[in-house]
Amino acid sequence: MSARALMSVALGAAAVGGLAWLGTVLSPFHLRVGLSIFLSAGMAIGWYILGGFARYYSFGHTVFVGVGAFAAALTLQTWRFDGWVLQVATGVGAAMAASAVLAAVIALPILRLRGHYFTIAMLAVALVCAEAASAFPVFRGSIGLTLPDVAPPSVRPERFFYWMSLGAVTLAVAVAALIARARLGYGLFAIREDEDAAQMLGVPTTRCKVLAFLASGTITGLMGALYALNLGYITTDSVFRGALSLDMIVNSLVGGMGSLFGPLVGAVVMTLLTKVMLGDFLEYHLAITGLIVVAIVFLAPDGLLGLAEKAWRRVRGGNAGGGADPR
Amino acid sequence: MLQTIVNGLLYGGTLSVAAVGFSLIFGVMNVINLAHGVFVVGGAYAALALWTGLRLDPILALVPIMAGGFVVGAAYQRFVIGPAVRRGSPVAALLVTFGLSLVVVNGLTIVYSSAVRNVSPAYAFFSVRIGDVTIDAVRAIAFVTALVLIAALALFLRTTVWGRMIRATAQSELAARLCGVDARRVYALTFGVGSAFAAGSGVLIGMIMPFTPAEEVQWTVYAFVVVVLGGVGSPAGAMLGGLLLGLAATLTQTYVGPVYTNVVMFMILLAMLLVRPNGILGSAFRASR
Amino acid sequence: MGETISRRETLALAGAAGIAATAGPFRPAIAQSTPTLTFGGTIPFSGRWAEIGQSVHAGYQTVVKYVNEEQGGLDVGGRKVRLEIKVVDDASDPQRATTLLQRQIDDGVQYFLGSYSSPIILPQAAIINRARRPMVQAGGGADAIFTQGYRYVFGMYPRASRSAFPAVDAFEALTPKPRTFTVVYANDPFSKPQGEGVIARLREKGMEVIDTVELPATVQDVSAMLAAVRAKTPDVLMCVTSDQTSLLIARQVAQSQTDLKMLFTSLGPQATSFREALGKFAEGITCISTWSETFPYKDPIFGSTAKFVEYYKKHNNLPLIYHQGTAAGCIVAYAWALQQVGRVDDPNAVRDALARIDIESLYGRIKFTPDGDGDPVLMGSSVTQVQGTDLKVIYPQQLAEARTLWPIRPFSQR
Repeated sequence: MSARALMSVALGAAAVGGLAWLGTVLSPFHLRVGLSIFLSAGMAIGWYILGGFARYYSFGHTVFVGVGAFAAALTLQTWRFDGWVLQVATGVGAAMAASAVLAAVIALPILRLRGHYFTIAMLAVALVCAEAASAFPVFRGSIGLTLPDVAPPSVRPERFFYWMSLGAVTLAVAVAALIARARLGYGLFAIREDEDAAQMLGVPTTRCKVLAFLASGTITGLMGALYALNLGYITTDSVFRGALSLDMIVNSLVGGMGSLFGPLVGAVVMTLLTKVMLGDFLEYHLAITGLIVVAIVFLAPDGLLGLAEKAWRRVRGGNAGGGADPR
Repeated sequence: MLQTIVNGLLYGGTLSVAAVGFSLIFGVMNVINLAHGVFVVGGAYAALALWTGLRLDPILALVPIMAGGFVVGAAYQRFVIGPAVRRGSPVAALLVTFGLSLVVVNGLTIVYSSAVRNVSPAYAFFSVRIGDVTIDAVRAIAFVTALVLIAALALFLRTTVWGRMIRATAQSELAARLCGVDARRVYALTFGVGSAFAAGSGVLIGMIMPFTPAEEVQWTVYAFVVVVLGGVGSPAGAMLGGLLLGLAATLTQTYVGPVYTNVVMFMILLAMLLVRPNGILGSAFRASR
Repeated sequence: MGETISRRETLALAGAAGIAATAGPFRPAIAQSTPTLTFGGTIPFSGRWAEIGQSVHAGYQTVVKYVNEEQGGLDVGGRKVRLEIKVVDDASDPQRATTLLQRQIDDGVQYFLGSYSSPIILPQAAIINRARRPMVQAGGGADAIFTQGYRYVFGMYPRASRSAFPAVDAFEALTPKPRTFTVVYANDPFSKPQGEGVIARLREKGMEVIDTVELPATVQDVSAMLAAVRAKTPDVLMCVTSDQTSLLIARQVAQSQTDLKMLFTSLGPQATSFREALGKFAEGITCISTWSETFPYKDPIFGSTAKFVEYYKKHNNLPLIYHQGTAAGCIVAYAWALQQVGRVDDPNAVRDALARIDIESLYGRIKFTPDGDGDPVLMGSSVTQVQGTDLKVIYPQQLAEARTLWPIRPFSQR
């Protein structure tokens, strides 16, 4: 491991440790804000593994949130274990397994499509699964599913889920960072630049895309399980929501598509902005969210990190060499 | 059975005209217009305003509303979509269309509230009985209007100079430019025509079914399905896709159960994408693959 | 309006500068001699339930405004207390709704009002119950809200599966008795249990259900379904559906001249826009109304339902529908409970008072079951029918304003 990699691992560990410690002192409301941020950050990272690394924009990633949530709810209703460790393990395990299976099944046919067609096809997958979850009575998506309260009695539920989702985000970032540094990552970056050229140069494009899709779906499914366990009650509408897919994209875009920090920064900013502050704006907040999206596209096409980088370069006197890692 | 098929075709006509504008914009400019549904719903509200304000029959209202849709659409392309495409990727343009649709829907909700609205001209409650088959007058009128509109669009694209320019640009922007076509104006024109049809279809939809501002998402999604099914960029494709989809919807309603209608419609979308992404009448427009 | 918004904008901008600002406690009301009691909660001001959210909010506000401005506050234990409502927009999003609710709990808000729709209320109910603060809500009817032992959550109407019983009972009371029914219900968390409840009740009463149809939550076209209905026409078509689906069904029933003896849609006719859209074809359609402005009840705050209606109309432009009535009922129930307890700082005692409440109010009788939902008989809905351009209560007998049009005039003869 290079010194730089060691350094970033150490910094990351310190940040996670700090956030975990914060969990012991924050008020319940701040814990819930933190939890919301972690959940959207985790989903955004999940999306980014495919959308950011390989530039395969999925418009239906909420399908993994939904499948994960339903898998967790249905298994926990079927098998009732005692003890939170077993319950969480079952729920989360089922969610990850179900999303991985879904990803594996659709990967090959759907990844043959490119550009807009992949985007629409993912949207279609999400729509089909959502409608199926509602229409077929076995899933009970239309009337809703209740999940057991898995938090141990000695810990406040919001604190418990704060830590759980922090753990999940850490896992997501670690996986994504590992991918970025592995051969797989380089394959994906090659696909992002020019898929045909990459293929001609011997990059196993199909294998790369399928692996990334699997990782992306599984991580998003994990976040879906936590999302559902935290809410305690889900319906098709609450977990298969176009808005969730969109949040993942918007978060990545707002933060910047340049590096893994992009979706993280985006999730923090957008969650604080839309979930916390605009609570006061009553009927105008949709329009404001829309305007933010438009403003980002026009004013900061490289996201907030892109803006910050530009500003930094200007301060440093146009030293172009100071650019960040292209990931 | 016959009744089901008739119902399916009538419904399909509406779907076709609602999708044809989307198809044109996607085919020619390679832009997915997520604000498409907003133009549809906007057309419905415009018809409502003209009906309640001036008692203007929705069919007559088509003329000013489509004209309005054209102007708004062209301006939208010129000042918003165009710059967004030049600045970033088509995905940036897609996000811009989405952001603006949020703004407009929010605006409509504030002006009209999210109450269910409906345009009910006098003939809205008539029906004709032919043998065992009942045909709602208003649906029949909407269907015929839809056919006329689509035929007009096809004629426009086929016979006029501007139509030829649009088709040429769709096939290759570069080649068209080399032949002296002003691509920017063609884009604005295309977007204007596409939006005019979206708004016009909204008028028809407002006549035959209740609507709310939030409904726009549905019309965008149905436009996707129709276009992918029939084929991108051609009025004939939208027509075929719409009719087939209408049939699929009513057949499912009757023989499988209404709850499964959307499952089937979206399955068709997915299957088409995987098997033949160009659609049944897929043409050589550049958006395909 | 413009003023409040610019103030909010400044607040939010200030907030953007530092996250800390967002977490600040609620600004205390400008110093006043009377103490203030705050009701917290979230409301869907945007998103799917925006319109109903506005009605619910207007209902809450009307009572609070009246108490503060006309009565100088609520008399609690010999002191006047100013009432205040602090609700925030949950945008019809459950995750957001729980976060915002938690913020208010942290800030020490002790009494809560409901949002709208079961997917939002359910997760909130879990939080509220853990925090041991009462919530009186008129927005969530799903059975699960009341069957999980949440002691602090009260609902102003019977749980979903029981909520359409009055309609069945009303039809049973008709002469001649209708014989055959077709039941249509939408596949959503409220309508489905409600519809299944209707079917069970019909069978229990010995009436024949010849067909049941499950519709998706939103539909564009029901002509195929109506073709099936025409094939074996029932006496009564009962639709447990949203406003929009109801309007679509009613229109297509009229267009296709499906001659029913009675058309019932659980929601729809209560809205003026529904009746206007259908014109003469609306005549005779029945629905259930949890509340109607013509109810003849006495009320501890306003004096009567009629006085509430008068006051509401003087101060609001938003059309008065049953949501304002149910929402107003929530505050009336709170006011009674607070006065029973005699102090404002004991949410547990207020909860206990709510659990034993049994009063007449502008909304009707208020009495909860031990599970917290409305008593299925005492707080059951009334059944109303469109007659002329108005909606008339036709059931239960003691509230009836008009005789039931039965059978209704065939659509083909209008």
